[in-house]
Amino acid sequence: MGKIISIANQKGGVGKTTTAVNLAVSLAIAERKTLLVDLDPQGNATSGIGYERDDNQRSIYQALLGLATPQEVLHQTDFAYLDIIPANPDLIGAEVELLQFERREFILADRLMPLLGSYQYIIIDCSPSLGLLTINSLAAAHAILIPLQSEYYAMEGLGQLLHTVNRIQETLNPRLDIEGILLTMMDQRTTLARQVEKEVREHFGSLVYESIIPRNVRLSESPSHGKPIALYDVSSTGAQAYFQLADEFLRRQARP
Amino acid sequence: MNNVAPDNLRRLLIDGSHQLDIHLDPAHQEAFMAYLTALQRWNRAYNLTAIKDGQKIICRHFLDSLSFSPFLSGISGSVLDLGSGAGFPGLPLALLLPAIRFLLVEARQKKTLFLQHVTRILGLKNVEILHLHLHKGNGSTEFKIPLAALVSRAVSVPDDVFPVAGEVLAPGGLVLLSSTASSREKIMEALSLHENLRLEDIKKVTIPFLEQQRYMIRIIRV
Repeated sequence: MGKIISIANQKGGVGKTTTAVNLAVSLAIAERKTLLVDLDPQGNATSGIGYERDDNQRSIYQALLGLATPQEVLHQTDFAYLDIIPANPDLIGAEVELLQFERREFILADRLMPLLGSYQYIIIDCSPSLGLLTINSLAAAHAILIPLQSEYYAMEGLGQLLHTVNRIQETLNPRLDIEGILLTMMDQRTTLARQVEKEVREHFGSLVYESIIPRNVRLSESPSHGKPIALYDVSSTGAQAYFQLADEFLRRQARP
Repeated sequence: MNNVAPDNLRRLLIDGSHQLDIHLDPAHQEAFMAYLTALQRWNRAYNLTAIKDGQKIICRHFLDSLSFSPFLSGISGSVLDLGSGAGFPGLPLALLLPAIRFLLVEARQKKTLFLQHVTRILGLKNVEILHLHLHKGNGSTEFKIPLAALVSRAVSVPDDVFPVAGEVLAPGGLVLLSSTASSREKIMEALSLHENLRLEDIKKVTIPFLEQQRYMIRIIRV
């Protein structure tokens, strides 16, 4: 049975999509059967993996609204062990359209159910909001992975996110776990970044990954080439950091 | 055995290569140490080789790969390493023999990405990596042929090696297979089915610090 991990933080620009794409790819390189679900109307995970949008509209939107089966919206990627369910701008309407459904918070969970047997990991890239789509992803997930920008306001908004996680645990999804907190965009040279790291580690202890994603030009360039960092520049510090994260992630899975 | 100081590992590499009559200058040594570090780091997450211990990697992968080099003297042109895995024997040979172009073919993506990474960090300009499953029928379309030689370690000699050799080697081209006593027989059996390949000779090769006897099988494309 696959494990569903939601990459979420309602703050924008904290490295959610970069993490969803490159963690999914790194797990796939480790030959773990992985599915990346793009649940952000901007579709950046979709283009970042190099998937050319097709106008046959086989995307997460069709699956959510029951216009297609989950299997029909799956697409292969350049990686043998990685598939994707892409997003496209139609998804903007989904927030509103899903309101008419009963059990509207569980639609994604229901749609992913038939796929659970085929994948070891299902990674969901959320939009920067706590709207119905993100709630759906947290209701479907076994765990949430929270990317946190190593900057002054890093912790801002985290309280609200953790409160939301608590609410979801109490109401929609008691099994929801915190997979980990990932420090991203770290500039090790600045005192401030090191202070932020210290503060986050003091506050959250072992929830925080040892692996840190550095600020890295190659990493920021890679989406514009439609390539995950492993294919764009395998030797960059960004690529190495995500490989290390995948290693740490997999080690954590092995723990009881 | 796990936490051997890098200095000792370097010593092991230098001593071993001396036994093979190969001189590694300091730049070579640095490169091999960087290769070792990268392989051990990637092995943690990506499990590229069954052998993970530093000393064993040096003996069974680095020195074993270097043992091919005397047999490649006089080769000019491109050499194909079929089923290169984590780069053996192709990458150590490419380090040592910059005048020869090496084509590393590997079907598993985690390994080709690793090969790209190592090629980059070692600054190797004479290496090309191909992510594909090479088999009879597609060899001649995937790269510029004919090639001067094909190398492979018998521990990982795929069934496709002879059909591919027949397709991609120039007449007079060389197939070099390193084998153990037990795999040697299987290889000879498979070879007998290929009329365009002729056994040249089999030489005993001693890999430093390794008890098991190895044989270098030389086959010529007729």
